[in-house]
Amino acid sequence: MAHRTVTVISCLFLVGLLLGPLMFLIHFSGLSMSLTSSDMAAIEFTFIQAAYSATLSTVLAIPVAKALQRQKFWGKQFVVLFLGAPFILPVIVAVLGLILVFGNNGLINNFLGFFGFDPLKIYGFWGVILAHVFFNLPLAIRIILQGLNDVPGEKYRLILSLKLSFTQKFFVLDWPVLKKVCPSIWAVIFAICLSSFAVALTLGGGPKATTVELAIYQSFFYDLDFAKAAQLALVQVFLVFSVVVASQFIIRPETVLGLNIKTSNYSHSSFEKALDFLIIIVTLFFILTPILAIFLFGFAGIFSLPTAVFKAASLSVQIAILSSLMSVFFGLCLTTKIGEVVGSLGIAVSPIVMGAGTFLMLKNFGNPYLLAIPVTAIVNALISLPFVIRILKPPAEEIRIEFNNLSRAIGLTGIYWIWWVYLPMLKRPIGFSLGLAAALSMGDLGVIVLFGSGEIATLPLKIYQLMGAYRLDEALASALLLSLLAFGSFAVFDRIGRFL
Amino acid sequence: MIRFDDVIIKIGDFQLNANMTIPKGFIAVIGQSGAGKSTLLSSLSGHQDIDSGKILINDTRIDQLPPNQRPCSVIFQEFNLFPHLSIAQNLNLVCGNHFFVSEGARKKIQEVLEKVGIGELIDRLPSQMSGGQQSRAALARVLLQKNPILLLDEPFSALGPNQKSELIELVYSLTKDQGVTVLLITHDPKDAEQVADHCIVVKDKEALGPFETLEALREDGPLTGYL
Repeated sequence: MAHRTVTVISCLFLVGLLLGPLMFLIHFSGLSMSLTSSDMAAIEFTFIQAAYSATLSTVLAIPVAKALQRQKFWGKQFVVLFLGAPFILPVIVAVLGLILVFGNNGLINNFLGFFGFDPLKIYGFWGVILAHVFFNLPLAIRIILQGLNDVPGEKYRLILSLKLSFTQKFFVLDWPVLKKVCPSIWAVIFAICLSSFAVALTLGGGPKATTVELAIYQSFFYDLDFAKAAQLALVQVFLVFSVVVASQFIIRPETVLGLNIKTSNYSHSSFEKALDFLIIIVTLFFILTPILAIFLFGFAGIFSLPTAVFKAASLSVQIAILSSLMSVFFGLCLTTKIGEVVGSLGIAVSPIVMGAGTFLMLKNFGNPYLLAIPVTAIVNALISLPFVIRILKPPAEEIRIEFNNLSRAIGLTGIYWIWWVYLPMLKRPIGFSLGLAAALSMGDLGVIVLFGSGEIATLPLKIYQLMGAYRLDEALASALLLSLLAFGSFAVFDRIGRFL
Repeated sequence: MIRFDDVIIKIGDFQLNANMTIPKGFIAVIGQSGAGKSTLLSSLSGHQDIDSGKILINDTRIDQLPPNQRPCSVIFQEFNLFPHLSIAQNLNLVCGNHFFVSEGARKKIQEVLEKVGIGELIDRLPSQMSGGQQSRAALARVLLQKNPILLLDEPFSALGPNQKSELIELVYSLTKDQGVTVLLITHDPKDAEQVADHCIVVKDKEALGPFETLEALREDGPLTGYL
């Protein structure tokens, strides 16, 4: 009962936080929608790049997941673990890493140039796609791998005994899983890429590679056309919300039940084995090289960074701590079905949209720039909330189910229940959620670009400013610092959760 | 004295009727799996709402009270102890709900743990104890609650026959002189034979009895077909 009250109050508060800025966007849009041809081009590009990114990420993930599933090798668990890294890697860092590897003077182009090939172009459409695949391929691999691993071991043993061909094995074993899993992966990646801002800001731009998010920023920041920014923000909300609703109708992955006795002698030819390892190595190269390049090229400059960078880093840390605490607080209040639905509304409202709405709202009452830090922290908290709820809800529900009778029998309720049962039993997922929310906030470049300035800048914004000023060495060293802070905050919170 | 006054409990298609007066003492509740034994006890402890009728304890109606305001302590089949808390912390939860285990509470807990034979395990986590020791700790908790009714919902079913018998004997010895009424759910008529004054038989959607134990266990008694 008490938990329900807390959930309802939190839901109302959250809806208020999300609706407030939206109301101001509607107000500032002048209740009209006058989209120009360049706006329509931005909408078209947003859809096309999201479709390409989702399709490529999903299709490329299939052979990698299959290779990882059927091959056993030392360090396999680290490979799978490492596939989670791009999720918390700040976008601006990844973009810098990709430029180092795939850019004009990057590793790949030097290699191609050596053999007389034309260089790859990282800016524009294909650069945006490349970055999106870099971020989403690991996510797709992990989900497909999970689906393939859920196939009961008994089924594998049956297939082994039937001595089927490669194609027959694919259609009997893998196709049913892929049919269920891939559409929902595609929909998730499509929705993520629709809200692409930082990638489009750094690798896109221009009439041919502007997303709606980027168009909002440009109207807001360069044209000072708040009505246009508000109209585009509403278009963006409509687009993402429609996709999120539509994706609910796409088949979700189902867990196949079985005794799950895994067979260890799933035979495959040496050609299959070689192909699998080649696929794994190429994937690791694609994901690891940009990250390693940042470490390699950024290390030298990290000790001679200007004070402004450390000031920005300190601000990023403060915002990350504040936003992760808020996100987990709300997450703990919303570990119910209705709580999850309300908490996930943040998916439809991107940082840029939230930031634009909040900016316009605050403009009515005073100087919005003065509230840059709390606004950035709140918006970052709302953006990471859907992930935090996904992590906290299953164990929280389990605790409520398993210990409800005992708690009621001994009259353990309210604050005492939270103190003795809820918080201590959830400390691991709480630590993990804090780490994830802090890392995501640390890398955010969405809200701060609207609210930030020369004086108030987070580390991602500082890196963007350094890139814009062609101070690449400092940008790389700052990117390394940001990566260390993002991974470090994740590791520290996660450790605290494990060992407290 | 516990009275079920025309009580009807419905859970989906399942329905259980109870109309009986249970005297003080050690009562065994016997019946087949799914007959409604746990449902009957849950209605008394407050974990299951009743659809009609009344439940009275010493002529006071209790069926609308929340579980912690009823004069009943329960030991469930599982999840009797919080796994992340030490035995001292688990037992402290019924000593006034403080944020920390006070010296006074620790002393009381130590005393009751001595009574159930696990005084040296006060700082252990449940996972560091055997099943029998965990059952003793749960028993210590209900002794601390000092309620006049103790409900045992097959708490020792996962233990071996000797350990189970030993624990039932321990419950009996600790409660017989305290005026505590014990209701023990069991599948095994031997448990009833060992300690119970009376038996309640749950079958055909109905709680029957209470019967004198010897009468209930007779070949042509209410447990015919079950024994």
